[in-house]
Amino acid sequence: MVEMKVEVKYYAWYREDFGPSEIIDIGEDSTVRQLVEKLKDRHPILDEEQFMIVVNGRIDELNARLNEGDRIAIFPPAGGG
Amino acid sequence: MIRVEEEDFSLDEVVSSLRRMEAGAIVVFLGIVKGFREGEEIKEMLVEAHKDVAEEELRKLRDEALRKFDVMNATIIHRVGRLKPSDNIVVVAASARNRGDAFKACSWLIDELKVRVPIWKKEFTPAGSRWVREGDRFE
Repeated sequence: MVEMKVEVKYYAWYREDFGPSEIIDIGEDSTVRQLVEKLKDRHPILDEEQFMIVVNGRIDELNARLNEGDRIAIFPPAGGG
Repeated sequence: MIRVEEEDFSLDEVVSSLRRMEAGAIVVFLGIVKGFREGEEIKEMLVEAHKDVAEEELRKLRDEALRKFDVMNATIIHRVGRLKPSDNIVVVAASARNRGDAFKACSWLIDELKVRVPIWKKEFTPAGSRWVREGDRFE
């Protein structure tokens, strides 16, 4: 299976727990959902929280296809105000 | 007016941005940094955001509020960076013909902001630091 790489950047306490960013290998034509499952395997806390995933600056559908070099941001649950 | 920025804001400017001949009320919610939480001193607060996504989400919230309530306009400004107790964190303001609609819109906007907009707060106390997380139920 052809693999591709995407960069995943973490914010707030995720950055402190997981590091600022990771390069993740995923299969070609992977979806956002498949990446999410991979991230949950690496960081089980993601299975317990309502985090937000942003692809290239946009909040994407879980069924959206990812492309080589996509920039992913993972946000913990909001806590402003 | 929708902004996420380090600089402090002017409440006069916020109110001026909403003043209209047709309006009969402007309601302003101002959130400031607490100096204590459950008896523990808070020395400083770090506010972090993903600026582009946060501003986009705030614009969506403002637009939703304009559809949902009988309000004319709304302004939301959220600060980021290092803040001290009593510093301004956020202002949410809405203008309407009647005060009831402006109060409702303001209340809804700050509640939604807290759960939908990618902004996070970290408090520094004499004992260390902690992120303010959903579910802490401090507020």
